[in-house]
Amino acid sequence: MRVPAKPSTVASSIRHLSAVVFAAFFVVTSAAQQPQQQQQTWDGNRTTPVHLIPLKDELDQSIIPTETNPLPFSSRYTCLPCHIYETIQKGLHFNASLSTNAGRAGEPWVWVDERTGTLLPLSHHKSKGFWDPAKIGLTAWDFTLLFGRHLAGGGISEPAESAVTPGSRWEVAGRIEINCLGCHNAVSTQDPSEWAKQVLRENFRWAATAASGLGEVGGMASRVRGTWDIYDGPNPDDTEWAVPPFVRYDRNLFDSRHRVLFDLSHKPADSRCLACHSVSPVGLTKYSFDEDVHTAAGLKCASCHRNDLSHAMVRGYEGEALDYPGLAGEDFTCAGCHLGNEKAKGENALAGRLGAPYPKHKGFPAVHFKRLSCTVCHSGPWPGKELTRVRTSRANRLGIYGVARWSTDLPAIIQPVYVRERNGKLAPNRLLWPAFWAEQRGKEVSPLQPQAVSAAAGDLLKPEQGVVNILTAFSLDLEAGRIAVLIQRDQVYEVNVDGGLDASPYVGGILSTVPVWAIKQGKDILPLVPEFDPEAEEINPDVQTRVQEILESLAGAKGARGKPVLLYKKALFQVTETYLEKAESPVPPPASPELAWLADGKIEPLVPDFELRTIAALAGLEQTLTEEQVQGVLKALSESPSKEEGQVKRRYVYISGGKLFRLDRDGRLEVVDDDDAGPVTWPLGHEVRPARQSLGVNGCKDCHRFGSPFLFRKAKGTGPLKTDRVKTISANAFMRLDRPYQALFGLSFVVRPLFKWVLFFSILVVGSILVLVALLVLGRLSGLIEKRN
Amino acid sequence: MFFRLISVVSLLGLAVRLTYLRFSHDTVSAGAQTGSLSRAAYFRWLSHGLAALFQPAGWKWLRATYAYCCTVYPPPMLKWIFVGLSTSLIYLAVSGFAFAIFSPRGLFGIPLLLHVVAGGVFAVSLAADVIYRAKEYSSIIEVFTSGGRPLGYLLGLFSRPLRQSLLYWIFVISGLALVSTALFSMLPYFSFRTQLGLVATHRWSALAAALSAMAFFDSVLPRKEA
Repeated sequence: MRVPAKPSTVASSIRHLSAVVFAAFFVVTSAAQQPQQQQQTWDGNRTTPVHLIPLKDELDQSIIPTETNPLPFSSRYTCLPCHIYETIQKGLHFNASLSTNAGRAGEPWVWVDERTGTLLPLSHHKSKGFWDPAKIGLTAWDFTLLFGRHLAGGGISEPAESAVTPGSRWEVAGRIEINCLGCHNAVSTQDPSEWAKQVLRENFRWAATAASGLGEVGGMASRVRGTWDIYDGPNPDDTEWAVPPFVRYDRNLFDSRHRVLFDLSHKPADSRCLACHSVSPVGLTKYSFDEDVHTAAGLKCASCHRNDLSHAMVRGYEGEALDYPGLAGEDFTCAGCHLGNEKAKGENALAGRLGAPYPKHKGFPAVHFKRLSCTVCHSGPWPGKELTRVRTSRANRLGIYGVARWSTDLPAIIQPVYVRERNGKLAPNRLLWPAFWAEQRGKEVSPLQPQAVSAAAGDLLKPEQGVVNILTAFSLDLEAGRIAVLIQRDQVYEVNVDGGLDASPYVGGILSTVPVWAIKQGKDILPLVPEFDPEAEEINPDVQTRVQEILESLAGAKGARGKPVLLYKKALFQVTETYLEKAESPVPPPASPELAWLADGKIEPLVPDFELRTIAALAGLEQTLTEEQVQGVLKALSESPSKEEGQVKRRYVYISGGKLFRLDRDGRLEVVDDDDAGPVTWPLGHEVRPARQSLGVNGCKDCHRFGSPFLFRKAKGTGPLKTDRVKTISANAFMRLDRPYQALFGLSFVVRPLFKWVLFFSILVVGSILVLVALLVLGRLSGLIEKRN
Repeated sequence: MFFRLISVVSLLGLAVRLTYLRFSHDTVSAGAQTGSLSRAAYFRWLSHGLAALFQPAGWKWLRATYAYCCTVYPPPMLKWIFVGLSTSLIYLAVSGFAFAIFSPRGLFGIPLLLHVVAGGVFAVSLAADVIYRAKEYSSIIEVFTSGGRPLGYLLGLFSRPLRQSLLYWIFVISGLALVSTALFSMLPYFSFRTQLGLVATHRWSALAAALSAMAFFDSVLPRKEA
């Protein structure tokens, strides 16, 4: 029996109901809705139905946009009358954390934390080098916060009540239901950036509404106290900071019966897929990027990557039919369309599906088709001398736009690395060198979460913070258009919008072996402390005022380590009460004015040498750690208090660039090889190049020659650690091919043209004589020879 | 699988047949009784023969065979053509059939490289051999004129010279197919399906060449005199 839908004033009225009554209501309405579900079997019509439908909230009540404080729409209940949500939940994009049948390895989620130098590949599916999020202590809540920006909803971001862990804030943020509109909304206002921002604000249940453009969402669940729930409504005491999330629907989108016309696409547009699946080479301009040859030919992603309501999507890799027998995945492999199914009979055996051209592969020895996937020759960038570094949407946080920069340079993902797959064939892969801190017990390492490392490391991982604080303090007192900078060696450091330090080359005239604090105005850089004679009886009052301002600014700097003083020659200047006081310096006189801290009667440098060294070492690099920092952090971790009583002293390690770093008995940093430090790889399918740009188009020597990049190019370990001690793996090692043999085999192609001529002339001689013999036999048989004789 | 089966059966079958005939000839020539031609006696004879190959005395037998071949293929050119043809053929057959029968992957690695090199030697040797020796085995042409009766042709094949002639030309034709398919596989003119056909032709030609070579050398090599 169906409960008649009542006009919704539910958000306002239900707010006053008790939780028990409300839960009962929820159960009754949910149960009553069951008979509404229709099993979707296609009636044969190839059009997409017009979706003029009422929006439903998570209580399955119709949304009336004019109502006060309406709830965000729920895709589960809005789509429910026609589409069975539970069926869709099992789809490829939503069941990663639950599915036990992973098929071929896919791209891992990468936990990037630049501060601690963490690049940790995570996946719910087992694959070499991928870490299970649960094993490193990531709850569904943590995982959603980290990666919800590129999650499609459902699955781990929509945990059952029984799966909710302490410390999570699901009640405040809500679950992230499957974001149907994220893929199927054909309207250009569908905004993946907005989705990401709402997720990062913990506005989980509001994210779909905001991203679809159906309404404007304000407030941040992340700032709201943990006891707030959606029925509490707005916070009348705080309308500035801890504003609970709310939605204001665009009323123009609703008709008089509160229905919304959804412009839906049964097959999502490529841009919807690319929001999360973009991969592009670093440094390439957008206009010069060549799209996949299939896209250029007019196919859409969904033309091959098909699915039915179950959303069990065809991935199109070789052997998919073995992993998912019911999926017809083999039909949409490269061979499925281009070569047809040679094992089938009749129409199914025919090649050319969707207009796929039939490749003749002239001159290719058949062994290539036994040992190589199609993608080896046809996909990814042409193997040049260097591996191509790429960024991916999910790993490098691409496609999120706003004032702040969201994308990250790390992790450094490179391609193509040719790796032998489960089926014994080579396939092009993307490669990532993991980097993380870990606890080592025996041979087993367990990654540490970045926040645990930060807590133990203290300021060791924030070497620039002291300089940032001082520059910020100086800049506060400067006129508009002038900023404080630090000159050290040949670099100028200034504070950037993210609160970090930007380095640029210094070409000015301030020459000093010690760091110089200065003021930058436009392109001009002048010393912060003006030139004066500190030993003069009378110091210029303007200079005195300036020095006093500088010292007072320093005194107010965040993290000030003592009382600021200025040392110059034999004089020491400090502000006592409100006066600039001059005294005799207790330290050797510096050649130029030098700011310092006076703490416990001792003179300390304004910025410790360690911090200056580290800043200088990392200036202009994407690396975020030095070996000295790693050594320090490993010591700090070893000395951190153990949570487990009576535990044997723990050993900590850091992994980067394919090597494992640890402290030896003398506390020095030593480097060893370790399986867990090895690179992680996953196959790539796109971008597919045209046939004329495929490997082998120039002949065998595209791959088979001495020193060819395909066989001998080296993948050198990279990571957040600045070090020369990295692992290097040759392409032939990934392929499990013998290097000397491949070199010899490559050399054989030098003499191959000659060899072909030798064979040709041999054939000519033997063939001619055979023809002669055959003619003689014919002559005898016909009697022509006897007659002639 | 079919090729593996046929190869094993035909190669082993022919080897057994030829060695058994030689065994029975040796045994009868030595004046033994019919009863001594038992299967057990044959295997004893075969094992002794194989063991002898690895003993110093065995090398005498090989040297004798070599000396005989040098008379059949007189120096200076023809001897080396024979040496090149026979050694390359032996390596090609051993490496090719060993990998084809026992390795699901087929020929690969250093053996493949050597196979290619040996193939070149084989092609040149075969061409040279045909130039020098084609006329010796031209009796195959004569058989077609012997009486002009089809039955006569067939009966003529049972004579030793004609059998040798026939085997020789089968070997030459197989060799030509082997070299041709190897060359065509390296040329950028043939599609994938044709490549598969070339590989299959190469394999079957190799089997024909190996069988004809075995039979040919058996017919050429001298038997013990009574």
